[in-house]
Amino acid sequence: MDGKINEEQFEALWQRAEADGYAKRLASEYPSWRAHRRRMAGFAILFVAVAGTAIPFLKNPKMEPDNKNYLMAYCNRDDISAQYWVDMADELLIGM
Amino acid sequence: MRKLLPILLTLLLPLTAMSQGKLYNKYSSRQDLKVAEIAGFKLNDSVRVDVVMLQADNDEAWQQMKKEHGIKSTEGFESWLGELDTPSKRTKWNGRPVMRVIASHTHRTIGFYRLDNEAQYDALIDYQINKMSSRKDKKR
Repeated sequence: MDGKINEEQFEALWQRAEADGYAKRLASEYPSWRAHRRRMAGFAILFVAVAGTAIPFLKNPKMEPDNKNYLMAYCNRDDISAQYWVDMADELLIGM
Repeated sequence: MRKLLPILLTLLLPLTAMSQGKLYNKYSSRQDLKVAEIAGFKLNDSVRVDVVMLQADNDEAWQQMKKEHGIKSTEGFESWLGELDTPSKRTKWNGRPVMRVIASHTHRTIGFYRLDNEAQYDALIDYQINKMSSRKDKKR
Protein backbone atom coordinates (compact mmCIF):
# COMPACT_ATOMS: atom_id res chain seq x y z
CA MET A 1 0.00 0.00 0.00
CA ASP A 2 1.70 3.18 -1.16
CA GLY A 3 -1.22 5.50 -0.30
CA LYS A 4 -1.79 6.58 -3.93
CA ILE A 5 -5.52 6.10 -4.16
CA ASN A 6 -8.16 8.71 -4.77
CA GLU A 7 -10.85 9.78 -2.30
CA GLU A 8 -13.59 7.63 -3.83
CA GLN A 9 -11.44 4.55 -3.77
CA PHE A 10 -10.49 5.25 -0.20
CA GLU A 11 -14.13 5.78 0.78
CA ALA A 12 -15.12 2.46 -0.77
CA LEU A 13 -12.23 0.77 0.98
CA TRP A 14 -13.14 2.46 4.25
CA GLN A 15 -16.78 1.38 4.04
CA ARG A 16 -15.78 -2.19 3.35
CA ALA A 17 -13.22 -2.12 6.15
CA GLU A 18 -15.79 -0.73 8.56
CA ALA A 19 -18.22 -3.46 7.59
CA ASP A 20 -15.52 -6.05 8.05
CA GLY A 21 -14.38 -4.55 11.35
CA TYR A 22 -10.98 -3.51 10.00
CA ALA A 23 -11.46 0.26 10.13
CA LYS A 24 -8.89 0.76 12.87
CA ARG A 25 -6.30 -1.29 11.08
CA LEU A 26 -6.93 0.55 7.82
CA ALA A 27 -6.72 3.91 9.56
CA SER A 28 -3.40 2.96 11.09
CA GLU A 29 -2.07 2.19 7.61
CA TYR A 30 -3.30 5.55 6.24
CA PRO A 31 -2.64 8.05 9.02
CA SER A 32 -2.82 11.05 6.68
CA TRP A 33 -6.32 10.08 5.53
CA ARG A 34 -7.46 9.72 9.11
CA ALA A 35 -6.04 13.16 9.88
CA HIS A 36 -7.79 14.53 6.81
CA ARG A 37 -11.14 13.14 7.96
CA ARG A 38 -10.65 14.55 11.45
CA ARG A 39 -9.70 17.94 10.00
CA MET A 40 -12.85 18.04 7.85
CA ALA A 41 -15.01 17.11 10.85
CA GLY A 42 -13.29 19.87 12.82
CA PHE A 43 -13.98 22.41 10.06
CA ALA A 44 -17.65 21.39 9.97
CA ILE A 45 -18.00 21.82 13.75
CA LEU A 46 -16.18 25.17 13.60
CA PHE A 47 -18.41 26.37 10.75
CA VAL A 48 -21.61 25.48 12.63
CA ALA A 49 -20.30 27.21 15.77
CA VAL A 50 -19.32 30.39 13.88
CA ALA A 51 -22.57 30.49 11.89
CA GLY A 52 -24.61 29.88 15.03
CA THR A 53 -22.99 32.88 16.68
CA ALA A 54 -22.68 35.20 13.68
CA ILE A 55 -26.17 34.91 12.17
CA PRO A 56 -28.11 36.06 15.27
CA PHE A 57 -25.56 38.86 15.64
CA LEU A 58 -26.02 39.98 12.01
CA LYS A 59 -29.77 40.04 12.45
CA ASN A 60 -29.58 41.99 15.71
CA PRO A 61 -26.15 43.73 15.98
CA LYS A 62 -26.99 45.52 19.23
CA MET A 63 -28.21 42.21 20.69
CA GLU A 64 -31.31 43.93 22.03
CA PRO A 65 -34.16 41.71 23.24
CA ASP A 66 -36.49 41.01 20.32
CA ASN A 67 -39.84 42.16 21.64
CA LYS A 68 -41.01 43.98 18.52
CA ASN A 69 -44.60 43.48 17.50
CA TYR A 70 -43.64 43.50 13.81
CA LEU A 71 -41.01 41.80 11.66
CA MET A 72 -40.02 44.58 9.30
CA ALA A 73 -41.32 47.96 8.18
CA TYR A 74 -40.34 50.36 5.46
CA CYS A 75 -41.62 53.68 4.20
CA ASN A 76 -41.25 55.93 1.15
CA ARG A 77 -39.98 58.71 3.47
CA ASP A 78 -36.72 58.32 5.37
CA ASP A 79 -37.62 60.60 8.27
CA ILE A 80 -40.45 58.47 9.68
CA SER A 81 -39.69 55.63 12.05
CA ALA A 82 -41.05 52.12 11.73
CA GLN A 83 -42.55 52.44 15.20
CA TYR A 84 -44.65 55.41 14.03
CA TRP A 85 -46.35 53.19 11.46
CA VAL A 86 -46.78 50.29 13.84
CA ASP A 87 -48.43 52.62 16.36
CA MET A 88 -50.63 54.01 13.60
CA ALA A 89 -51.67 50.51 12.48
CA ASP A 90 -52.55 49.80 16.12
CA GLU A 91 -54.41 53.11 16.49
CA LEU A 92 -56.59 52.45 13.44
CA LEU A 93 -57.60 49.03 14.77
CA ILE A 94 -58.45 50.30 18.23
CA GLY A 95 -60.00 53.58 17.20
CA MET A 96 -62.36 52.00 14.73
CA MET B 1 -18.50 22.87 1.68
CA ARG B 2 -20.74 22.43 -1.39
CA LYS B 3 -23.45 20.97 0.83
CA LEU B 4 -23.14 23.78 3.37
CA LEU B 5 -23.52 26.61 0.85
CA PRO B 6 -27.28 26.16 0.26
CA ILE B 7 -27.84 26.05 4.04
CA LEU B 8 -25.85 29.25 4.50
CA LEU B 9 -27.74 31.02 1.69
CA THR B 10 -31.09 29.93 3.13
CA LEU B 11 -30.14 31.43 6.49
CA LEU B 12 -28.82 34.70 5.10
CA LEU B 13 -31.29 35.49 2.29
CA PRO B 14 -34.25 36.42 4.52
CA LEU B 15 -32.12 39.32 5.77
CA THR B 16 -32.25 41.00 2.39
CA ALA B 17 -35.01 39.47 0.34
CA MET B 18 -38.47 40.74 0.99
CA SER B 19 -41.04 41.37 -1.68
CA GLN B 20 -42.77 44.72 -1.55
CA GLY B 21 -46.49 44.51 -1.99
CA LYS B 22 -48.32 45.67 -5.08
CA LEU B 23 -50.20 48.25 -3.06
CA TYR B 24 -47.02 49.76 -1.66
CA ASN B 25 -45.48 49.94 -5.14
CA LYS B 26 -48.60 51.55 -6.55
CA TYR B 27 -48.42 54.54 -4.20
CA SER B 28 -44.80 54.74 -3.07
CA SER B 29 -43.78 57.27 -5.73
CA ARG B 30 -46.57 59.71 -4.81
CA GLN B 31 -45.15 62.96 -3.43
CA ASP B 32 -48.30 63.85 -1.49
CA LEU B 33 -48.60 60.52 0.32
CA LYS B 34 -46.60 58.80 3.01
CA VAL B 35 -46.65 55.10 2.22
CA ALA B 36 -45.47 52.33 4.51
CA GLU B 37 -45.55 48.57 4.60
CA ILE B 38 -45.35 46.62 7.84
CA ALA B 39 -44.47 42.98 7.45
CA GLY B 40 -45.65 40.66 10.19
CA PHE B 41 -47.72 42.97 12.38
CA LYS B 42 -48.30 40.84 15.47
CA LEU B 43 -51.91 40.09 16.40
CA ASN B 44 -51.15 37.36 18.91
CA ASP B 45 -48.39 34.85 19.70
CA SER B 46 -49.01 32.82 16.56
CA VAL B 47 -50.73 35.13 14.07
CA ARG B 48 -49.27 38.05 12.14
CA VAL B 49 -50.57 40.10 9.19
CA ASP B 50 -48.98 42.37 6.59
CA VAL B 51 -50.20 45.96 6.60
CA VAL B 52 -49.91 48.80 4.11
CA MET B 53 -50.52 52.34 5.34
CA LEU B 54 -51.30 55.41 3.24
CA GLN B 55 -51.23 58.83 4.86
CA ALA B 56 -52.18 61.97 2.96
CA ASP B 57 -49.93 64.98 3.50
CA ASN B 58 -52.70 67.50 2.93
CA ASP B 59 -56.45 67.79 2.60
CA GLU B 60 -56.35 67.78 -1.18
CA ALA B 61 -54.53 64.45 -1.26
CA TRP B 62 -56.92 63.08 1.38
CA GLN B 63 -59.98 64.06 -0.66
CA GLN B 64 -58.43 62.34 -3.67
CA MET B 65 -57.76 59.19 -1.61
CA LYS B 66 -61.32 59.24 -0.28
CA LYS B 67 -62.70 59.46 -3.81
CA GLU B 68 -60.41 56.71 -5.06
CA HIS B 69 -61.47 54.33 -2.28
CA GLY B 70 -65.14 55.27 -2.18
CA ILE B 71 -65.05 56.71 1.34
CA LYS B 72 -68.29 58.55 1.90
CA SER B 73 -68.13 59.40 5.60
CA THR B 74 -66.76 62.76 6.67
CA GLU B 75 -65.51 62.04 10.18
CA GLY B 76 -64.35 59.25 12.49
CA PHE B 77 -63.47 55.90 10.98
CA GLU B 78 -64.77 53.88 8.07
CA SER B 79 -64.02 50.20 7.64
CA TRP B 80 -64.77 47.54 5.09
CA LEU B 81 -63.52 44.28 3.64
CA GLY B 82 -61.99 44.93 0.25
CA GLU B 83 -60.89 42.64 -2.54
CA LEU B 84 -57.22 41.79 -2.50
CA ASP B 85 -56.27 43.33 -5.84
CA THR B 86 -58.76 46.21 -5.69
CA PRO B 87 -59.27 47.03 -2.00
CA SER B 88 -61.68 49.85 -2.82
CA LYS B 89 -64.15 47.21 -4.06
CA ARG B 90 -66.26 46.09 -1.08
CA THR B 91 -66.70 42.40 -0.50
CA LYS B 92 -67.75 39.91 2.17
CA TRP B 93 -65.67 37.35 4.02
CA ASN B 94 -65.86 34.05 2.14
CA GLY B 95 -62.62 32.40 3.26
CA ARG B 96 -60.55 33.81 0.41
CA PRO B 97 -57.79 36.38 1.00
CA VAL B 98 -59.15 39.89 1.49
CA MET B 99 -58.09 43.26 2.85
CA ARG B 100 -59.53 44.74 6.02
CA VAL B 101 -59.46 48.43 5.14
CA ILE B 102 -59.76 51.08 7.84
CA ALA B 103 -59.83 54.78 7.01
CA SER B 104 -59.34 57.47 9.62
CA HIS B 105 -60.35 61.05 8.86
CA THR B 106 -58.54 62.33 11.94
CA HIS B 107 -55.22 60.89 10.77
CA ARG B 108 -55.97 61.22 7.02
CA THR B 109 -54.79 57.61 6.89
CA ILE B 110 -55.97 54.38 5.33
CA GLY B 111 -54.71 51.03 6.63
CA PHE B 112 -54.90 47.85 4.56
CA TYR B 113 -54.60 44.68 6.65
CA ARG B 114 -54.09 41.61 4.49
CA LEU B 115 -56.11 38.62 5.71
CA ASP B 116 -55.14 35.39 4.00
CA ASN B 117 -57.05 32.94 6.15
CA GLU B 118 -59.69 32.53 8.84
CA ALA B 119 -57.09 32.48 11.63
CA GLN B 120 -55.97 35.99 10.64
CA TYR B 121 -59.56 37.16 10.22
CA ASP B 122 -60.50 35.94 13.71
CA ALA B 123 -57.24 37.15 15.28
CA LEU B 124 -57.79 40.67 13.95
CA ILE B 125 -61.24 40.84 15.52
CA ASP B 126 -59.93 39.41 18.81
CA TYR B 127 -57.08 41.93 18.76
CA GLN B 128 -59.53 44.82 18.37
CA ILE B 129 -61.80 43.54 21.13
CA ASN B 130 -58.93 42.90 23.55
CA LYS B 131 -57.28 46.26 22.92
CA MET B 132 -60.54 48.16 23.23
CA SER B 133 -61.37 46.33 26.46
CA SER B 134 -58.00 47.10 27.99
CA ARG B 135 -58.31 50.74 26.94
CA LYS B 136 -61.72 50.97 28.64
CA ASP B 137 -60.29 49.36 31.78
CA LYS B 138 -57.51 51.95 31.88
CA LYS B 139 -60.02 54.80 31.66
CA ARG B 140 -61.98 53.49 34.68
